[in-house]
Amino acid sequence: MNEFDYKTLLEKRWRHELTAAEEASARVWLAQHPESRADWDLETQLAEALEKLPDVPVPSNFTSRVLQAIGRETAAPRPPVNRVTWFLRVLLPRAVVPSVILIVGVVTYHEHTAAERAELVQGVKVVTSVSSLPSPENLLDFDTIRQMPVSTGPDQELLSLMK
Amino acid sequence: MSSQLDPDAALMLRVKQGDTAAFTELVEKYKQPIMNLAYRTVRDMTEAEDLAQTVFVQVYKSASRYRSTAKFSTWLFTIARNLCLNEIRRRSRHPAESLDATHPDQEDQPLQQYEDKKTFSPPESLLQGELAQQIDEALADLPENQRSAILLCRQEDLSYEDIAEALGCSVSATKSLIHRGRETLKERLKAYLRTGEWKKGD
Repeated sequence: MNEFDYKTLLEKRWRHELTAAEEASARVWLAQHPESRADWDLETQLAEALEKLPDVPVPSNFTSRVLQAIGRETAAPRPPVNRVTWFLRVLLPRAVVPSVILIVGVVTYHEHTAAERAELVQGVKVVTSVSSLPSPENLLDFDTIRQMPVSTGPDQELLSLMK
Repeated sequence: MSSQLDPDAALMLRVKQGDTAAFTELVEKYKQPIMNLAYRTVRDMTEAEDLAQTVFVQVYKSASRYRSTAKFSTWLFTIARNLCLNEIRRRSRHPAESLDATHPDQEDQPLQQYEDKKTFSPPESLLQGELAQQIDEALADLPENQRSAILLCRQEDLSYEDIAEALGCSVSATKSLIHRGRETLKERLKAYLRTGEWKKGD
């Protein structure tokens, strides 16, 4: 038997008397650990004293009183519910927060949708405002012209030859 | 736990179907431990009776919510302990107000509607002997959770797991509550217990 077993025995003694085998184990432990003797005796005495604690008297008609109390509660008509009072005291306080959240959500969604539509209309306006594109023939030599070197002044050599 | 294993759970299943005889059986079986717990919590016989009665009314009203997987005694003591805690809280808020005080919505009802056929003495003389007085006083001075743990520990049909469930804490915390409570009781009752005088009445 170790200390854990000793504590387990103590916990058992809290609840009921020990069996002969358990008593024997306790005696062996206490013989090896005389320092625990005083505490063990006090624990045993307290356990016995708690076991002797008398029951509180229960009135002989206790059960019938309980049954009559239940009968009263189940038979008693419920007070009529005033709808206005119910609305003001029960429904309204409960509905306030969800309603505010719902309204804020609807307004935000509406604002967001309106902003998206305005943006779309603006984009369509830009596209429609663009004038007609140049004809494809004007762009035939586009690449050639784009690859020509860009000079800062007139080509003097070419001008003299032309003269 | 099936209803076959726990006869109380089987009775509760009958109570759920409106069987008053089954409910009566449960009240008869548990009225004593519930009265013990109630009295040792409120230390007033009239209030303890009202409290114990409320416990059983609550059990009946909550029968539809009872699950047969739960051990009945654990469920019952959980309800009892919660109502005891409510009473302690109510007392701390309204120290002078008694449960017997007339409630505004019950003013037209007589205060005591039932006559008790059995006469019993006032609380002081109900506690037989010095030992009971000493222990009751020491128990009353314990913190509520330690006192409840020690009182539930006296219920042999409750395991440590059941007590832990009724107290709403772990098994190790329950054992710790019992240990601390017992240490306080030992310290307070040490001189008295060691005299052995309390054993003479055996």
